[in-house]
Amino acid sequence: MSMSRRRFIAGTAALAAAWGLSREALGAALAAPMRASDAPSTLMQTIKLSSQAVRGTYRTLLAGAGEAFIPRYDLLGRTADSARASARRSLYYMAHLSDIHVIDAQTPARMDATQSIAPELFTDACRPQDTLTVHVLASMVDSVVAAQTSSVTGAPLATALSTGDSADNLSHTETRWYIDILDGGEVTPNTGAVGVYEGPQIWAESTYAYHPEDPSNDVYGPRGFPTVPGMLTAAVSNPVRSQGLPIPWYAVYGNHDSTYMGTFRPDPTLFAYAVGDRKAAVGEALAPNWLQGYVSDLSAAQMGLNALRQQFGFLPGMKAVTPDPARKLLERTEFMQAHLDSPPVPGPVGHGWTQANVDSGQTWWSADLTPYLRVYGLDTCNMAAGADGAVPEDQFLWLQGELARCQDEGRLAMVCSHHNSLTLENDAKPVTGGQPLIHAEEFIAMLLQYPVCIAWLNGHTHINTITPHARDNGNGGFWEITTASCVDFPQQQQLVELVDNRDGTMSIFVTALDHAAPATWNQGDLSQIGLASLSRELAANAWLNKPALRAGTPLDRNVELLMPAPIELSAITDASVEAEQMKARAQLLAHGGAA
Amino acid sequence: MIRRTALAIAVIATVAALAGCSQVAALTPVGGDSITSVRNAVYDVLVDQEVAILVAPQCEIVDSGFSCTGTTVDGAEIRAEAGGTTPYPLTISVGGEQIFSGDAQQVLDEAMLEAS
Repeated sequence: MSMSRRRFIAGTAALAAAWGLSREALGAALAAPMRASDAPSTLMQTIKLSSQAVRGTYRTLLAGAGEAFIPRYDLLGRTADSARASARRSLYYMAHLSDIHVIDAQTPARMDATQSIAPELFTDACRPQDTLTVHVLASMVDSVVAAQTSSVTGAPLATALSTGDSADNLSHTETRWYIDILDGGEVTPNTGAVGVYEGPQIWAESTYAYHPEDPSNDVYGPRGFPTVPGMLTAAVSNPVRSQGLPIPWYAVYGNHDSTYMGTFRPDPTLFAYAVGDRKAAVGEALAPNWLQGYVSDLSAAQMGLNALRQQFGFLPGMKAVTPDPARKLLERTEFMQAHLDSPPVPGPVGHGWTQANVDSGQTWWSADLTPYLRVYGLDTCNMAAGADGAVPEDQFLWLQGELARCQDEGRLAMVCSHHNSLTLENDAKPVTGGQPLIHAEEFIAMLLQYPVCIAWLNGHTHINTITPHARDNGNGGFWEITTASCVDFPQQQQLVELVDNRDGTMSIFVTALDHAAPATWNQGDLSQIGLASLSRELAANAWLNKPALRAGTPLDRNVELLMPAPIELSAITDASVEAEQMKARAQLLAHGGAA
Repeated sequence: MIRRTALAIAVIATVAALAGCSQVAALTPVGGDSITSVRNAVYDVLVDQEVAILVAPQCEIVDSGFSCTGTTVDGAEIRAEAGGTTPYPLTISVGGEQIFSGDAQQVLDEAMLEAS
């Protein structure tokens, strides 16, 4: 330990007081050397589909071999010295969450029936595992807790960054559920009638949906999807308990947190529809009415027409459901406010946003994770139309100024956004007005101007993807790190660790993280963990969502991403790193961990 | 199905008539699936055949579909060419020697399965 004994004792006393821990116990724990964790991970076990289908094309899941780290030299331009493994020190260890997609599957605002009109366009309108997203998130929380000590260096997990699409459909309920599961607590993922599922998965005419009680007459039956009696009732009746993340977590907007179905600007009709008592069972009567509302400007006359159009709930193909005011759709700033309505632990209150954000409507933020690492949370969502995104000019200029400041200060920087470099091309603007939109090429070129910007974390495509962005002069660049989702197969997130190799290079270790539910679902297991397991199996067979694409490749999962050190890393003293790790370890101990 | 497709087209046409063109252009599925399918299949093959990669192939859209180039640690060129539609017929060569010919989609499907 580089820290002086005096500073260690003072630091321990302060942390013990801050977290309500015994000074002696904390001191003993912090004095123990950090050791690399051998907790279960994808380094030891992966999840694969069975080689033989059990019915039709349906396959179950089973445990496969682990995947060791693969070094990637794309930005280094040469192979690396193997001696780095014994010399390295951890600078920061974090979790990367994205595309959690907590779904209230019963809300009338969920337009499941659009899938019957254009299945390839609305692939995520109605998944077989829609009712099980809260179960999966709680299981992912368990995995993050289990990964609280780095398998590379033994460093403590310090924070989690969530890059958007936390809720699925602008919903107050979905937003509250996701926040409560990450903060820790209990959620019964149900709205409307108590303990009763009302929706397309039980309606005979909704043949586009998976009917677990009897799939023989829907599109899933011929493919061999299983009969699971009681699945829907168990999903909406039993509380899901979450131990909560033991670390502060931050969030950014995703397109599903910003627009209707992640694509459309919501109109007043939809706000009323969400809390109403009619839900579409088939698509034909729904889409024309709904899309008409989407494209219309909100003149007084149109407002009146919209009020009349609310009656489209009485058109053929609509079913009666139990209304629930908790299903209300959120206005733009209400999503940020929901994050402020959360407890101080694990915090931070607002999870990146502050009251100033709510007051001003500014939807992006920055945070100092340590004195030597700053993170920027962007809002790349397009409020005019479309699932894909862009960077509005005001944010672009703000970030450019911030990165210049980090460069001057010798501070490492990371950028978080929902959209990635493949999907930052949306140029939709309001019919009148709108500021210039910056797309991927220009955005990447700007980031490359600032060597302290080492990583861009994002999601959106639900595909594990690692992309190097190199400078033209061959001198480094930054790594783009895209994670899969919690909703589509493989239902993985990531662990990310920044490491100083003490040889003029640094590494970013990325580890794919499965949620904690067993690989193989035991038939009939409708427990909380069993339903999470079943969700993964259903997702692996949900062909519309292209499960074979979403896991990425071995070069996208467990990888060591090398790059030239962007600054003189020795300027970050061992003592300052240890002080930050002490804080993180105390935080984990206070949560009941063994850091 | 034809009736439903026609309805979907009609709906989109209605949108086109009433909204700004930039909004209509944005009404597409999440981007990148096709090029990522090819890219992922190339990476799966290279890892499976234990090619030592210095710069992993980057893929781009070309007239015939997709083209990807990278470099091995020995300085040999990695080149892949693929058709533009599923199942994305794919060839991969390293240092001028072809190491794979087949469908990218099949590579992806098989990568999901337990080891045989």
